[in-house]
This record gives sequence, structure tokens and C-alpha cells, in this order.
Amino acid sequence: MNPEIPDLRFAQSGMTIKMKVNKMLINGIELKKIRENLWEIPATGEMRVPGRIYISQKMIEKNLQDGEALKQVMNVAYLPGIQKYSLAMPDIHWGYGFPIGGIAATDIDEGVISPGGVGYDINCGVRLAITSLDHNLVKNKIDKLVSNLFKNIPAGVGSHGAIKKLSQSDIKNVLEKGSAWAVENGLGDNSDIEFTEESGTLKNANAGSVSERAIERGINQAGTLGSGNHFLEVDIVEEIFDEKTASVFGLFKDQIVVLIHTGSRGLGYQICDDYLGRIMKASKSYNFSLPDKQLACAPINSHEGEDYFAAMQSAANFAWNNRQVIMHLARKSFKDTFNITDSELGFKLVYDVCHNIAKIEEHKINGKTKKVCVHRKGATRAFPPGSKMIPAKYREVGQPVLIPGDMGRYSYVGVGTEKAMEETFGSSCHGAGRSMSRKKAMKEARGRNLINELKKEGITIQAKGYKTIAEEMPMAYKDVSEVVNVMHDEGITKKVAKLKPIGVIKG
Amino acid sequence: MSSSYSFVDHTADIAVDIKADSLEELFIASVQAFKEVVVEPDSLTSKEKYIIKLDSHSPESLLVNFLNELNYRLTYKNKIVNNIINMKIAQTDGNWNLVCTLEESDIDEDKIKTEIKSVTYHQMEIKEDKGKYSTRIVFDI
Repeated sequence: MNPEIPDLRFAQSGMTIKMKVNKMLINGIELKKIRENLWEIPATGEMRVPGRIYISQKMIEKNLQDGEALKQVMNVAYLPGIQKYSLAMPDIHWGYGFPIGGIAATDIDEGVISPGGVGYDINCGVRLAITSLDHNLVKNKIDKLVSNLFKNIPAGVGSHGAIKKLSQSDIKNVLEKGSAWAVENGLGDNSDIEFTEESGTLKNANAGSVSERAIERGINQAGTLGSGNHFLEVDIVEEIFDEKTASVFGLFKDQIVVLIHTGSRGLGYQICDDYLGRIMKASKSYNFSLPDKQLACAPINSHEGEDYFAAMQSAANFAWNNRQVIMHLARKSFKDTFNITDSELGFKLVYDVCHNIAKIEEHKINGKTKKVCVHRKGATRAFPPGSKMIPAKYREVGQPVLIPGDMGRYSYVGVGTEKAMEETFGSSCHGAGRSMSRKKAMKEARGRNLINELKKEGITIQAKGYKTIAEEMPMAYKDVSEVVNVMHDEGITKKVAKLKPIGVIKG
Repeated sequence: MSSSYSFVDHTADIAVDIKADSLEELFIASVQAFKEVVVEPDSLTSKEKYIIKLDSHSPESLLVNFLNELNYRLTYKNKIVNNIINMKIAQTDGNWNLVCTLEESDIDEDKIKTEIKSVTYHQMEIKEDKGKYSTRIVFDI
């Protein structure tokens, strides 16, 4: 397009656009095209920085027409100390406070930390484990395997009792040591620690900053999936895009792998709730101008900010321990089903990433390396080759980025890039993102037998309730390929492998 | 006195708009909406009474705390509220206070249809216009 000729073909809400445009106007929000899959919301009003969204024009037209998520990108730009841009990934959708898929980095001296930038399910995340088994060996026993997984891993509302109820001293150790607690208690291997983001422990966690009620809610939930979009999937490696990186990650075609998605359960919800209340009460003294109460925040170096950060890290450690225990229970389920030894099963962790977190990291801002607090709300860390923050084994290729899709189609394994460090504070997308409300999904599911439909596609599913299956039906989600392709084409994350589900357990 | 609520389409979570003739009615209607989200309609008879006293710095924060208290009692004590009596909300010295009695029943875990992680502050603003109160509530699920 000739830059001399202004392109004012604005797209109005609800319009079907067939042509490529350089600007859009959605519910009064202006979007300017920067690159093919990168759009900018200019800073207006009290926005301290512009907003930037990695997304295709087609996805904007299909998914963002109500303007709610775009408004949230703008709202995040009000946060004191925010650096460069209020960012969003292509799985962006309407959340609370931050949009889901939102990223913001704040200056650690003059900036803030916001519980709304992390969310209630602190360190909700994903872990991928490989096996030595291939599809041929597993396909005839998949029903039995799913049944054993469902029996051994508690799922559903308020699920509990996967392992013995933790003592007060155990829970303190879980909060401060993370998945190391599970390994010390025979629920995993040392290599599991090595291949977990931050080695499964955020070091500044402090159990003393966690309320009694939060502990009460978490003490019996280690090793439980919970409900909603949480799941455990048995997948086949269906396609390899990058042989070298796949080989470093231990992936091969037709291999059976396991994907686990859950977080810090009731303990994390309570911590977010406790500190939102406290920070909101204190916020009058800070006199910040914020457009949404859910963005309540405190200076990182204030008492409220420091206490929240310590409690949030405790919840993150609880979540890593949770996924570690689930992985151990999954390993046991495989061994019981196939009557094989550990060495025959070859169950190993590829990586565990969190996607609801705030972390102090070093990034280049205006050419200078600076410490910032990176809030990732429905976004994944995606560090590049050479990063000292990733396991030595992966330093040649980069950090594995795990991107679940929906239970009927596929998920992806990607790898972090230098471009992510330059543009997105080393972050990528975290999943498909919903395209349909739960209510709409229930309506779509009416009169259908989704369990049989999935079975015909070669997927065995077991869930505590049919309602969850209906709400989480594949069509309720965007096609994760579209999301991943935006990240791949923009060079933020490169595709490594595609996984296809054959067994699913849900709450 | 009257109140009503209607669910609003929300992609990831559950949003509901509440209207009522008084602040107390607004809180009670919010509880009805909360119940519709978390449990199937049932004819449980109330067995136990539980008194709740809360105070907070704003009416919105009071509503969030109140609903989160009920959510905690549901998911961790397996208690579902059937009726609310003697609800009183007052503002004193800049603080908002709530007192009421819950009539509750035990509920089986399997009867809980949706887990609410928390009641959020997103888009919540309790407005009063000519004696009519309204707010939106977004439940994180």
C-alpha cells in the first residue's frame, strides 16, 4: 500500500470484510496494521503506552468484534510503570482485568504488580511428558488406560484426595519448595525438576504470606485436576515440523505423549482473592487512575506488592507440585494398564510451563537490559536458544512452548525465539482460546452425543459430568492452528510438532 | 419490592446483570444468580442457620466478599444457601457492613455443576438511580 494514500476503509462492527485493510475501527477502538499479523492500538487518554496485538485480520473479524478484549488491552496500558506496549497474543479473548492472552512488563522500581494480571488460577500451566510407546501398542487399550487415569487422578469441582492429606509441615514445604516436595516424597524424578520452568520452585515464596483459608482450600488438593478447561490428554505425535528440535525434545512420529493442564486450585484462587481485597483497600493511598477495579495494583516494592508477590510465588510452587503429582499418578496408570516397567515406559518430562504468572526477568528496553515484572495472563514464556534460564539440554534450540488446542483436534509443541525476546518479553500464546461462551456451547451440544462423536474421531473421553464435555466441546474453541500459525509466521514461536488426542480425562 | 437478573454472553466466564429495588434485594438476587450457576434447582429443605457478618471499604467489595463467602461454604463445607433472612446493609464511618442469617442445607459434591474460582470485580459497579439498584457480576470459572 502506498503510504502517501491514506487507507480509511474502516471496518465497522459486524461487517464482513473481504479485502485487506490497514486500519480498523471496532466499537470506537482504532487498530492500525503494523505487519501482516501485528496490530497497534495507539495510546489515547491516560494510556501510558500503545497496545499491540499479534493476530490476523481474519481472526480480528471473527473473534474481536464486540471490542471487549481490545478494551482490556487498552485498560492494561494504564498500569503505572508499564514498558513498551500492552501486548496480546492471538488467543486473546475477553477476561477480567487483563484480557486472556495479555502480557505487560512493569518497571520494578517505579512500576506495579497486579493480581489481576496473573488471575485467580495462579500458575495455571501445562506439562508435556513423553513415553517410549507408539500408537500401535496403545490403541487397543486406550479405553482401559483412560479409565485408569480417571480412577487415579481426581477430577471435577472441589476434587481432592489424590494423595494423603498433607500435614501443616508438608504444605509449608510444598509452598516453599514446589515440585521438589513431590520428588523428595517419591512422586517423581530429579529430571522432572530440571525440565520444569524455574526448576519448579520460585525462590522468594513465603508460606507465611498465605492465609489460613488458602491453606485450608489447598491442603487436600495436591494431585487433582479440578474442573472447567483443565484436562489430562493422551496424545499421538501426529506431525513433526522441525526434526532437529523435535529430536532434542525427545519427540518422534506416532509416539504416545501426555499433556497435563491444571493450576493451583482453591489455594491459588484464595490467594488472589485475599490480596485483591487488600490491595484494593490500600489503593486509595496510591491514587492510581485505573479504568477497571480488577486491575487493582500496588507498587512492586510496597508492603502489599511484596507480600502478594511472595504469596503468588507460593501458589505457583503449589501448582508445579500439583502437576508433578498428577504426572506421577499418570505414570502409575500407564504402568498398571500395560504391565510394564519404568524403563520400558520411558515416561519423561519434556517441559512444564506456567501461563498465569508475574515474574522478575531481564529484558532489553530501548537498548538497555532492565529488570521488569512480566505479567503473563494466559500467555507462555518462550525463551530463545542460548538462554541461561532454560535447561542445558535445550539451549541449542530454545525453550519448549506447549500450546494445547481443544480435545477434538490437536495441540502444538513450539520453540522460543530471539524475536520473542525482542518483541514480546519472551512470551507466546498459551492455547486456542474460546470462541464460544459456555452457554452457547451447551446450546450447540443439545441433542448430540459428544462422547460418541469423539469416539468416532478416535478419542476416548471420561469426565465427571457431561456438562463439562458440552461446555468444552471442540467447536467452542478457535482452531489452535490459526493461533499457532500467527506466532510461527511472525517468528515469535516456531512450530516443532503437532499432537492429536486419543484419550482425555476432565472434571 | 422486586429484583431480577439476566445472564450476559461472555466468552470465557459467566456474566450476569442484576437489578433490584434496594441494596439488600440486589445482594439477595445476586445470590439467586450465583445459585443458578453452581447448582441444579432442587427442593432441599434448610436445616441449619449460619450468621454472616462482613465489612468492607465499598459496596462492590462487600458484594464480592459476600458471594465468595457463599462460594467457599459451597465448595469446601458442602453447604448451599436456600434462604437469606434479616439481611441488613449499612454504611458507618466510611465502612460498609452486612449482617444476615443464611438458611443452608448439606449438598453432595456431585450436585455442584460449576466450580466458580472467584467472584471478580471486572465491570462491577453498584449504581443507584431513583431508588433502583443495578450491577454486573462476572464469575471466573
